[in-house]
Amino acid sequence: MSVSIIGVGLHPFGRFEISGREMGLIAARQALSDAGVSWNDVQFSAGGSRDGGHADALVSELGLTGVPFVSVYNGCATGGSALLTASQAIESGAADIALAVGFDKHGRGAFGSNPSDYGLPDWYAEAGMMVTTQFFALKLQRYLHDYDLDPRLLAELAAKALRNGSINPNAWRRKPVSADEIAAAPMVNDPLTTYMFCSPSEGGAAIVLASPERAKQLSDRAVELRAIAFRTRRFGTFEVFSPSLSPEITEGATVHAARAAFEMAGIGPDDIDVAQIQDTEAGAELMHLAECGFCEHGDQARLILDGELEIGGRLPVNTDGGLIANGEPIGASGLRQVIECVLQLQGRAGDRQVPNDPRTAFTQVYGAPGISACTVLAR
Amino acid sequence: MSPIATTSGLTTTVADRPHLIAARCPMCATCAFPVQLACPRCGAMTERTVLPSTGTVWSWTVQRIQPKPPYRGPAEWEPFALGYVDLGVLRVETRLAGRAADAWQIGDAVHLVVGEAGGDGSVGEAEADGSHWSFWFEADPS
Repeated sequence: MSVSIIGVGLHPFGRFEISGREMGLIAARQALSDAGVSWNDVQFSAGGSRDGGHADALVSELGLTGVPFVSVYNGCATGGSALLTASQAIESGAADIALAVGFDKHGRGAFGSNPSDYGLPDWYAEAGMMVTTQFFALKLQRYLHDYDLDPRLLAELAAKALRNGSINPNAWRRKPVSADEIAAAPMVNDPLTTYMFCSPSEGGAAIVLASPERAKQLSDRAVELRAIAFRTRRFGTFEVFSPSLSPEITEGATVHAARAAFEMAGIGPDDIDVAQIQDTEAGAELMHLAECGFCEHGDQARLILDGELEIGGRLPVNTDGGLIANGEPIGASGLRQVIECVLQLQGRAGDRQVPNDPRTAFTQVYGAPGISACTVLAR
Repeated sequence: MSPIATTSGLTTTVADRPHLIAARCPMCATCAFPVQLACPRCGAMTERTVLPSTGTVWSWTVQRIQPKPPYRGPAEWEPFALGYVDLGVLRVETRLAGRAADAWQIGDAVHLVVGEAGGDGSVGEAEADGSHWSFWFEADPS
């Protein structure tokens, strides 16, 4: 595909006094300024938010230019959907410059969910089984069993996230915590302790896209969006809020989205220099590494214990601290991953800059109820 | 199969043993619990079937933090175990009872229990008389 990223903007993630919409506005203005364009130049926009209000309400402060603005919502993959929608507007020729934006502001603690929104009976939630963190634990417990993996790896991954977050000024969790302390912390849903989860948080993120022709005129550091692929679940995957599961387990949406993204980009997982992977909890990163094709299932211990996923390693993953250190403002989270990769490819990632001039990057966002969006970026 | 006396459409009794009622696709034999009108795999209209009442623990965890509403547990919060039980044709998510919440292992043998909600902290749908019934799986005697 031929779409360029010419500007990025991020309101830090964490807890703030301002509204989610204002964080989206700040991110959007920053992205426009980073791209050297004005809101009047934007011919198409897509945005999403779960708890921060309607994304298209942003136009009242960006400027009422009449621009088409599509509001999207796809759970944790909302940011990926906004980027997909905006990039398709560029690809189709409908726009030369487009904006993808996301923001959110969630309450404390795990997301509460309404059974009828998912077509589920009330008793399922009343019995205490409609809790997202349970799903992560149940899926992971079985995965560790099937591939004979040590739960210690989860503590190592969470420690990496918090270490990277500690050197990212935009991160929410800025204090490194040792793997020993993480492993010994109170259990939330076995085998996951409190430090191994991301928490719902607040923040905003925005990306300005352009056609390659416009990008050449506007920017000398544009990053190519080489591929973006979005998939929903097939029959037989293990997803959140499933009162029953098929005995045949099939590959998750991430496997198909990652494969399609690599095919579209014409490169493979071995060619990637830096990646951001959905780590809603440490086990998600563990499983997604294999689902994206970066290793075989069960082979994660080598990557983790040999330091290959560290900022100085062969495949640095979640260099900005991932969801564990940044928390998850649903509308913004998937865009944050792409922004971090853009900054890494442009050499603008500060203390967490990946060495050796990275040229290719990959992102994967995954959300309920079984949605995945993957991108391949290059310069 | 013909309708049998049920607890809110979730469970039934066959030869004195409780069973969960599931949907079964007449075209591709896919099962789903609770009952849904159409098959999740091929979209054909489903029939009703009963699931085996014994199985093994396929995965488990402990809920150690009180869930947000609409959770309706006992007044005194107590962590509980839950998991997926492999019944052969289907794996069903369920509360687990009969041993310490963190003492479960994958492969443990369990059987279905239907009872008045509260004994194990779980809540079912209200019957016409206002009582609440529910199901859970309990560890087989070792």
